[in-house]
Amino acid sequence: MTSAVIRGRGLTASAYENRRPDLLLTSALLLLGVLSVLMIYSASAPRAELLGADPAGEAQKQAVIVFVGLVMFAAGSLVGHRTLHTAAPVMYLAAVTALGAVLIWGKEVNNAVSWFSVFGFQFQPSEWAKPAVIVMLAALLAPALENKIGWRRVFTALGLAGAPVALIAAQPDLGTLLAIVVLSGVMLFAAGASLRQLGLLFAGGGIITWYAFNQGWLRLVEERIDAWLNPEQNALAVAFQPLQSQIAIGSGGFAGRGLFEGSQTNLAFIPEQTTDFIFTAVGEQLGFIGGALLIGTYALIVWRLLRTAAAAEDRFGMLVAIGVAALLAFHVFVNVGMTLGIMPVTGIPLPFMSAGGSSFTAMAFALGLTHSIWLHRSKVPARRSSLV
Amino acid sequence: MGVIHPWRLATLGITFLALFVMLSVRLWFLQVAAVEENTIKASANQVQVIYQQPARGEIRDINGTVLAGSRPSQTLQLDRSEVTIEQEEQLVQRLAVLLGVDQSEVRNPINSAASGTVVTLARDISDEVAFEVQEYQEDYPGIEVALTPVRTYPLETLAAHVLGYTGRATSGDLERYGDRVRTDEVFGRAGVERQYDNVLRGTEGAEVFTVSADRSVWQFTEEINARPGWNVVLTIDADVSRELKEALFYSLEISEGLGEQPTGKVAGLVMDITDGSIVAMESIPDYDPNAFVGSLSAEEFEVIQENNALLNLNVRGTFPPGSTFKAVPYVVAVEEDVWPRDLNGPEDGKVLEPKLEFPSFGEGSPQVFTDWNPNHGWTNLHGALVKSADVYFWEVALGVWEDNSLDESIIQDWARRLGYGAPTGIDLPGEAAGIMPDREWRERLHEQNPVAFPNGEWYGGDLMNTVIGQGDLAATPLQMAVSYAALVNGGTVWRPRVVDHFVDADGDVVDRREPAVVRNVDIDPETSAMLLRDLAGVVREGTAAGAFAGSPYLRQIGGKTGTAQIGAFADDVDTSWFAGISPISNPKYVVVIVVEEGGGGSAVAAPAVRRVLEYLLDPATAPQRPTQAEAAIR
Repeated sequence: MTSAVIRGRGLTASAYENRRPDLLLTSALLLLGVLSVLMIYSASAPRAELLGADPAGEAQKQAVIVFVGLVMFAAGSLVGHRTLHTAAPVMYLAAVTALGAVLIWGKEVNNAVSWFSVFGFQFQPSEWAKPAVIVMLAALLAPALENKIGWRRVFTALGLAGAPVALIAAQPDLGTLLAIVVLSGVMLFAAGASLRQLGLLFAGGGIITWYAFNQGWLRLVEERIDAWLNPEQNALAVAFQPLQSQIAIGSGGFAGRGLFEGSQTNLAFIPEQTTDFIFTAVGEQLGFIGGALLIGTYALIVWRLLRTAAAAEDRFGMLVAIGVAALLAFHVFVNVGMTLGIMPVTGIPLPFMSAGGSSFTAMAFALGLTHSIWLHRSKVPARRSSLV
Repeated sequence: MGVIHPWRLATLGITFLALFVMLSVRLWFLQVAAVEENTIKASANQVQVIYQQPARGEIRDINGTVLAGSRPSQTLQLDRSEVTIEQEEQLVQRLAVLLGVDQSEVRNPINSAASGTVVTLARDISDEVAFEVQEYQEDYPGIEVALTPVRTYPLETLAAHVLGYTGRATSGDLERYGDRVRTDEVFGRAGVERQYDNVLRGTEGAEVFTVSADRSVWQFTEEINARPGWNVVLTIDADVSRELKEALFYSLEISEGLGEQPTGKVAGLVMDITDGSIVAMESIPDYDPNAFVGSLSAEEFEVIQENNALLNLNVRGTFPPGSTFKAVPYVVAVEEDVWPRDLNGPEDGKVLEPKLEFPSFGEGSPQVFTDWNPNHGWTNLHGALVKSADVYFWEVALGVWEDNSLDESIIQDWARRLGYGAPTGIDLPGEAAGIMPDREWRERLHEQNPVAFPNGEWYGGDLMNTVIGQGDLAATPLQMAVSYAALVNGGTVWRPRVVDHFVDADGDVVDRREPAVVRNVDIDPETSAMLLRDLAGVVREGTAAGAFAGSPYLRQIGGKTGTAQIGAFADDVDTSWFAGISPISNPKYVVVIVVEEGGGGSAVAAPAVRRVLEYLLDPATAPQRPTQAEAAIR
C-alpha cells in the first residue's frame, strides 16, 4: 500500500492547514442566527406590545438560543468523528428512549405530544432524534465494502430508522417523521444501495402509505393536501395560514417593505409567524432580495456539506455529512415551500431561523459534527471526489 | 477512489440544487410577477372601514318650498360585539313583544349580519319604545337608539311623480353594484330622486382603521368626511302644482257628472313656453312617496302597482291626441302652402261638405269620411281650427296625398320636428316616445312582426286619421305641451326640464341646468301669430267657448280642444284633451290636461285647464268661479 508514503512528514504542514475551520459554513450559520433574532423581533414585537408584554421578550429568548446553538456547533466541531462513531449507539438509544418517554410524560401542544419540560426549558426529543438517527445509520452503513450494501444492512437500517419513526408517528409529528424517512433513504443511496434495493424500499413505503391512508390514519394529511390544492375554498379553515402567508410574501415585492414594516406579519395575519412561518416575515419585509439571499445561504450550507462528504476521511464521515445535508435540504424545502404554497402544511421549523431551542441547538450540533468531519477530512486530495 | 461514488454525489447535489431553484422561482413569481395582486389583497386584509352615510340633499320648488327633505328618526340598533348568543336570543323575544312584531322580524336582520357588527333591528321607532330600551338598559344589552335621517315628503302626494321616491338597497342593487353599496344605503327609485340620485346622495365618508387579524382595533388611520348631497331646486312651483292637481280632480268630477266613465287616469302639466321649464306636473292616480320610506309591505306595494299609481302619465302615458293635433296641419298648410280643393290661402274659404270621398284603406273599404259636425258652413283655415272642422284638414291631407311634388310624409315630418314620436329629453326617467305613424313606420312594423301587423300598406285613409290626431298616432301630454310651445313661440323646441339649479350644503348655487333648445323649427312669426289668434278664437267663439264663458281673462287665453275616439266602434269612449296658452299677447305658459276616456275635450278637459290658466294669470284673485259646465252639473 502506498499509504505509508502518503502519511510521511511532508504532509504535516498541510494537515495543520486542514484543521482550519470552514469559514463559509461558520459565517452562514452566524448570519442565520442574527437574522433569526431580528426576524423574530419584527414578527413578535408589535403583537407583544399590544398584549402588554415585553416587545423584545421573544427575540431575547431567541438570542440566548442562538448563543447556545453556536456553543453546540463548536462542541460538535470538537467531537472527533471516531469518538462519535463509537458513541453512535448510545446517542441512538438515548434518543429513542426520550421519544418513548415523551409519549408518557410529555405534554400535548397543538394535538401532538412532542414536548418535555426539563428544568423549566421546553425540550423536544424529536429534534434530537434526527441527528441521532443520522449518526446511527452512518455507523451501520460505514463498514460496507466497495460501496455496496447487502440486504441485511438495508433491513437493519430500516429497523433502526423504523423505531423512532413509529414513536414519532404516535405523537403524531408528520413533518419529523417524513424528515427521518427521507434522510434514511438518501443515506442508503449515498452508502451504495442498489437501485433495485431502493426501488423495492420505495414500493414498500408506497404500500404502507396506501394502507395508512385507507385506515384513515391520514385524515389530517388529506385535509391539508386538499387545502393546499384548493386554497380559495378553504380560505377560512386550514388554508388560512398558507394563503395569508403567500399574500404577505407577495406584498413584499422585489425589495420588501423594509425591516419592521411588514403589516401582515405585524398585524398577526400570519399565525405561527415566529416559528413555522418565519419565512413569511423575511419575504414581506426583505422582499425577493432577502428571501433569495436566505435560500442562497441554505444552498451554500448544503454545498459545504456535500463538499465535506466528498472530502471525508472515511465512509462514516461521508454518510453523516450526507445525512445532515439531506435533513437540512428537506427542512428548508418543505418549510419554505409551505409558506410559498408549493407544499402542504407540515409543521416543521425552518432550521436556524424559527423560534425554538430544540430545533436550533440540535441542528447546530449536527452541523458541528459535519464541521468536525471537515476538520478531519482526508489529507489525500486524490481521494476526494473531484466534483466538489 | 473516493468514499462516495461521484455519480451518487452528483445526483444528490443536482437534486438539492433543483429544490432550492424551485423555491427561488416560486418566490420570484409571488414577489415580482404577482406583486400587485398580492399588495391589493394585503391591504384589503388589514383595513377596516366604517362608512358614514352623507345627508341626502333636499328637493325644493322654485320658491324654496321643501318638497323632499329629511327628518331625524329613531333607529333601534344592536351592537353584536357586546352580547352573547344567549343574550341575543333573549333580546329577540323581548324586542318582538316590545315592538309588537313577529320574532322573525327581529331575528332575521341579526342572522344575516356578521358577528361583531352593528345591526339595525327597527326603523322609525316610537318615543315609547326608545324610552323603554334606554331607561331599562340592563334588560336590553347591546341595544342602542341611533338618530338617523329619514326621507320625508311634506307635501305628500303633490308633485309625487316628479319627485319620485327612495328606497333602501335591494338584493338586486347589492348584486349589481357589488361592494360599492351597503345595505343601509338609500337609493332614488323614480323621478328626480332617481334621475339626480348621484347629486342628491353626496359622497360617503369613512373612518379607516388598520386592524389586526382578530379585528381588535389597532390603529386609526384616517377620516374622510362625508359630503352631504346637493339640494336640488326644481322649476316646479308647488302652488301651481296644487292648483293643477285640484283641476285634475275637478276634471274627473265633471266627467263623472256628465255620465262618462273615465278610467281615472288624468295627466296635466304646465310648461314655460319661453324656456321649457316644467312649472307643474301632476298625474292621477298618485301616491304618497312617504309610504316607501318605512318598510312598505308587499301588499301595500302591490296596491300601488296595480293602480299604476307610480306612472307619471305626463311622460310615460301615450294617448291619441285627437283634434289638439290639428294645430300641426294648420301650420303645415300655411308654411307649405297646401290647401283644400278650390282654396288658396288661409283667408280663402268655402262651404264644407260634411262628407269627403277619399282614397281610404284599400279595396272595398269605405271611401267616404264623415265630419263630426255636419254643419260647419263656410269655413276658411281660421274657422277650421276654431270649429275643429275635420273635413278642412282632411282636404289638406288630400292635397298632400295627391300632390306628387310634395313628400307624402310632410305633415308627420313637421310633427316630428315639433317633438312628436320621440322622447322630448326631459330630465325624468322612463319617458315614452309615442308614435308618429307614416308609410315607413307601417312597413317596419309589418316586417318586424307580420303576424301582429298583417298589413304593411300605408293608405290615404291613414294620413286622414293622422291629421286629426286619430289612428295610430299617440303622444304624451308632455310632447303636446312641447309642440304647442314651439308652434306659438316661433319654432323653438325646448328640451323640457324640471330641475333649475343645485345648491350645496352652504347654500351656494353650484350648478345650473340651463334651458336647452332641441332644435329650431322654421315657422314664420306671422304664422305663429295667426295660430295664436285662432287659439284665442277657440276659447271665445269656438269649441271651448262654453268652457271659458264668463272668464275675465278671455282676451288673454287661447287653446285647442281634443276629443280622441278610442277604438273604431266605441263612440262613447272619448279621451278628453285641452291644450291652453296664456297670455295670448306674449305667450308664457302652455297647460295641457288629458282625461283618459273622460269625454269631450271641450266639456271635461277645457274647464280644468281654464282654472289653471286663470290661476296663472292672477293667483290672488282666481277664486273657484263655477264655469258653465260646472254650473250645468250643479
